Amino acid sequence: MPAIGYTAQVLALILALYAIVAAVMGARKNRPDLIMSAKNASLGVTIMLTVAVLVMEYLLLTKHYQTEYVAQVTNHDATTFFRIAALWGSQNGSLLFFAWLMSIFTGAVLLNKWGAVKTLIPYVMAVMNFILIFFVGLVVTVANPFAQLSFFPADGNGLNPLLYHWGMVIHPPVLYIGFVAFIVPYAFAMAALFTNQRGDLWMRTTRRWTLVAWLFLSMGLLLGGRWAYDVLGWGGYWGWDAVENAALIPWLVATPFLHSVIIQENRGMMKRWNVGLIILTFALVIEGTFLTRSGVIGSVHTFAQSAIGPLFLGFIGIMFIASLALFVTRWEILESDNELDSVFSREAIFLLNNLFFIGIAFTVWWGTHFPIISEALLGNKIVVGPPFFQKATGPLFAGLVLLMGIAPLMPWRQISSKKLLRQLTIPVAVGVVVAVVLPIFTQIKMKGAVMTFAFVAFTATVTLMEYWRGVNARHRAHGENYLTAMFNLVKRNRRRYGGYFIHFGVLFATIGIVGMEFYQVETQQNVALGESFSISSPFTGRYDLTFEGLKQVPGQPGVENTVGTLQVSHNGRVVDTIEPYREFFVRQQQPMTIPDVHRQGMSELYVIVAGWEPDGQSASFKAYINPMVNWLWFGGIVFVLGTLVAAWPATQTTRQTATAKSRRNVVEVS
Amino acid sequence: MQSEKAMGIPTEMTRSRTRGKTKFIVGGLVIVVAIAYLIYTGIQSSAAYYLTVDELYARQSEMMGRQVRVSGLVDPTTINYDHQNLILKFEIMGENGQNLPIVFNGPQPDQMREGAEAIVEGKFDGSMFEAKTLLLKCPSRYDDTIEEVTVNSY
Repeated sequence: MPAIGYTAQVLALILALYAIVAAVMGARKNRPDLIMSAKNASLGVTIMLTVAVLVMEYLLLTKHYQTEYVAQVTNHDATTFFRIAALWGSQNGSLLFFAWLMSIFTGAVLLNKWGAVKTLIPYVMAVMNFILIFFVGLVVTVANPFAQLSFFPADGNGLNPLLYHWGMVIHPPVLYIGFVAFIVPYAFAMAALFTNQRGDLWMRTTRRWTLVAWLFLSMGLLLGGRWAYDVLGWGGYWGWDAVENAALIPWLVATPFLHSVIIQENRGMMKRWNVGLIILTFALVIEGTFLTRSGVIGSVHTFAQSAIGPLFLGFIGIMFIASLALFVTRWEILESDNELDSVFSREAIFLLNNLFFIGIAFTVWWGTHFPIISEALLGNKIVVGPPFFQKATGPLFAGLVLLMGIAPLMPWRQISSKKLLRQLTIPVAVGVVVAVVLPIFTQIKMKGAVMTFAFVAFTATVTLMEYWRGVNARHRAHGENYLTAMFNLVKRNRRRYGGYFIHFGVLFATIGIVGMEFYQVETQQNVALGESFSISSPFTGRYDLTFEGLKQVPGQPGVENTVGTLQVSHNGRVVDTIEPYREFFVRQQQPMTIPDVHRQGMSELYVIVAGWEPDGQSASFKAYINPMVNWLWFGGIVFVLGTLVAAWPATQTTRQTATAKSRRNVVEVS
Repeated sequence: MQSEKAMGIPTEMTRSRTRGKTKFIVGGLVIVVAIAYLIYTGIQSSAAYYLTVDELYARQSEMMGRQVRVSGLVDPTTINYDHQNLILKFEIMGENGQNLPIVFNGPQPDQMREGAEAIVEGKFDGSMFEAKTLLLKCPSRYDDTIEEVTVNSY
């Protein structure tokens, strides 16, 4: 059985190599039969990798411990669910999984009917298979998940305890899909460069794919944060850990890309910038995968240091340099059709948004790589912690919140200052009122927090007004009632109004982030049975926690839980009993600290068991008050829904009217 | 989609191109400088040297009072934990046999045992290293991989 899996991997590698050669030759010599053959070979890659994955799942489910990987990530205690998920539980399996997901996307691209962009397809195939070859090559050579042990172990080691959580089980696949799906816009951009295309065809045709990639990447980040909050037990959702950053950085480059393509579509500008951004995004995706796996920067997440590090580095180098070389040789072709007319234009604000995002991306990248950079340049290994990232990116994030409100007010090309002032009056007034009222009437007094909330209020007002303007116009023009008008408005222009929905998600999340960054309080205490300790925050009032006892409870198979019981009183009144616990994975000799929370509105009291004395008469706890933290999760949900609205395929009729409209628009503008 | 707004352009259309361009370049530069400044001050305020125990002793005077991150194997015989006040004292071992005594205010992590590697960040006053954060790395028992298991403090 393992031999079948391995053979499938080898065949996938051969087919991918063949597909590149056939596709390029077919395009050069104009031979449709060769291109067809390349396409079939490409689909063959997808099929072969699917076979490999199925074989691996079969081995995992049938406890084939002679396969080293199976013994590494499962044991007799593992449930079916975690056996299946063990596919991405460690390095070699997750590489196979990664390659397979990527091949699903390349396969899906080829099954699509491409019509107008048909000429790009051979090159798209070549680029996609080139990337695939690297990953398939890894699992065929240095990271073979089908490697066999010389003996048949009685039992396996079992999955890393950190992974025994639903969030951790779905977080990697979601993140991987976000990563691999960027291969689609990247491959089309490269193909457009190869074939000397001037237009934005590559971008328009892959727009929805890009949004899907971005959606999954965003969800992966959100799930990762939620998992950390629920399982890691340090009271937060983001620790600026190297591997977390590795997933955030591509997102910070993909997001401005999603915005600046709109400029290119409307104004024929930013062509070079957009190509540059997509190259950078994909390169950062691969680099992020490398950081996670090479162990060059220590992190909670890293896999073992391994031989694949240098291979990755070489591949990133080749890919990046080749992309850049192609980019530079096509520099002239990508000349802008228009120039910026005014600072007061949507283009200019989008450009500013791009600069901010890239600035943040660079800052995070720099901080993450600083240990390596400083060691190479200064001979000293210097590390920067979370305070660096918070201080350096905080103001830029706040600036982005503000820009998010300004951009919708700006029309393309230019706006007269009179008109701008008129449009700004209400939102600015709301922002100012918030800035004045908050420090006087609420506990929010810190400058950074007040300012960010004022920005949030300003942007929320602008966004609401945008919806209102559209709805009202439809109401008057078509006599639709407000609800229908709202529905049709969004349906007619999903990207724009779905986009505003996403903006609302960001604003809600900002509230939660400000609450956590500025106003989280924590305490740690050792208490004897019956004793209490307290924690208070101006946002929630005072909590008294009484230690009522410690008990040993069997958890899932192979896990012993030690549960601490605490009675919670809020401002003197008993409101809840919470039970944070410590899981102990016997086989792996590893504990996990699982918090329990008491929710109060959008805020949360978050408590973990930090330790105890053997007699169970006293125990140590850590407690946090996380003000407004649930705004973050709520915002995340709104964010994802908004992205779905923006990415949902338009019906044929709306698509036609939209194209007709945008054509008309182009004529009007030029 | 912006037809109504797009028509409200006129007034300043005739402004000279070059002047416009310079303005954008200057604006862009201002932002780049601002970002560089944020990075610079951020690093100034939170950078820490990452050293081994021996390196710390070798550069003791230079590192005095500075934010430093040190890693080393925990000497299990030296662990002294006052659970009532949550004060944890232990030593990490240098390669040359010189231990670094550490004090940390917080609960003792379970993984503090033979073979665990501690990574601490804080300041060294010449005799005692006062750790603000403590992170433990354990050799996973059944796997040859090294995995970090707790983010104990942050």
